[in-house]
Amino acid sequence: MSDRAPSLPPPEEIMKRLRDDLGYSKQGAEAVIAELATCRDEVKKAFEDWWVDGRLDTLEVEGWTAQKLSAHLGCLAPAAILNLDWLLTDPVAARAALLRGFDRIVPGKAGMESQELN
Amino acid sequence: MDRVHANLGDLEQFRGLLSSGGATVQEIREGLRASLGRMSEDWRDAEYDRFVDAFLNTESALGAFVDSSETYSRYLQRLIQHLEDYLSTTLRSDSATSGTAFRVSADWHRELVRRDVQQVVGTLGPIVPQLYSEWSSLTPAERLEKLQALQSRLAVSQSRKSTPVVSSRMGFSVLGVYDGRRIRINEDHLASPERFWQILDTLIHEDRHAYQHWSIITPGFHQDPGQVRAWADNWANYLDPTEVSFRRYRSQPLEDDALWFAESVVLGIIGRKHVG
Repeated sequence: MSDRAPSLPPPEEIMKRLRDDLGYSKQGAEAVIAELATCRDEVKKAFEDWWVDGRLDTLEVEGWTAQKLSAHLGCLAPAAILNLDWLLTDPVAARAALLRGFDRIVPGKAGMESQELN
Repeated sequence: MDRVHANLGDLEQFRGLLSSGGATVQEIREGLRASLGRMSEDWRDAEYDRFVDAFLNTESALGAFVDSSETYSRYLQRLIQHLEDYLSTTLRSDSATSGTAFRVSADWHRELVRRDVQQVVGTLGPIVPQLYSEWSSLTPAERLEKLQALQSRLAVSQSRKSTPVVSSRMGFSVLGVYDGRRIRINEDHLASPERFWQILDTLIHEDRHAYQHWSIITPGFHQDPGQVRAWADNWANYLDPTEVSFRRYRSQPLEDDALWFAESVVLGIIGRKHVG
């Protein structure tokens, strides 16, 4: 890894690429941009590597790379990279959560009205 | 802030001490009883009779201790086993983490929600032991029926409509889904007999989302209007875990509440299962 400080793309560029190329929700893209701004430099560098070269294997934390995380969780590349920051800062909690898996809510456009009344 | 801790290392250590202590006392008790019998041939006076009375009283108390140490040692063994089973499928950090090194904590400062937790533990607690004992012999379809029965009972106990529980194919890291109409459980997990505690955790977690949803669409249903507003805002701006970090995903109001709630309920049920 070079010593130069990583330089993140402008937020509007990140927003556009995440939305247009990866199908991100607006709030998801905003959250990524906000989290990236507070990440450790090595994670910002990993994001830069992905942004420029598409590489997801340049940073390994606690045995995980973004590539492995993406395959394990089925998550998008920026999410996988951001998870490396959590592994760096709180490895025990991060490992437990990542291995546990996740659930999700799928609100849907009619989510507020769609509770089944059976 | 009150916290609930289940330190399996401490539990296991105490169980070991209790078990070996009970065995040692029993050994001493039997030795003394045998010696006393032999002594009666040589020591025959009024003092001997008084001593025997005192000994038998004490020996009776020691016997009660031995009995209870065995009972509670078995109780703690089962408690530890169930906690390990639950933690291994929900909270385990990695294979390098010792099975006795977990420290599970849940914040109990959410006083309003604590009552909800206790209510759900009270509703499901009497049912879960039977379900646990038969889980491995059930087919996936039968397991789903049982989960539906649990969900319906929960919903009725909270005066809300029940939510259909179905299973479906999902990625292996996906535990379940609440889509506003149904609770969906990962069918691969449902087919795995050793995932009982994780499945129960998932059902309660997804049902909590159904509860949150019901609270959003039913003004006045949930007792904390500020929390309902936060849920409603989060519902409209939900952060999917495939888009953001797990740290961010888990800290959003809907997930933070459901994660804490389900973990608290399952730990409460495990405790009740062995106390009750």
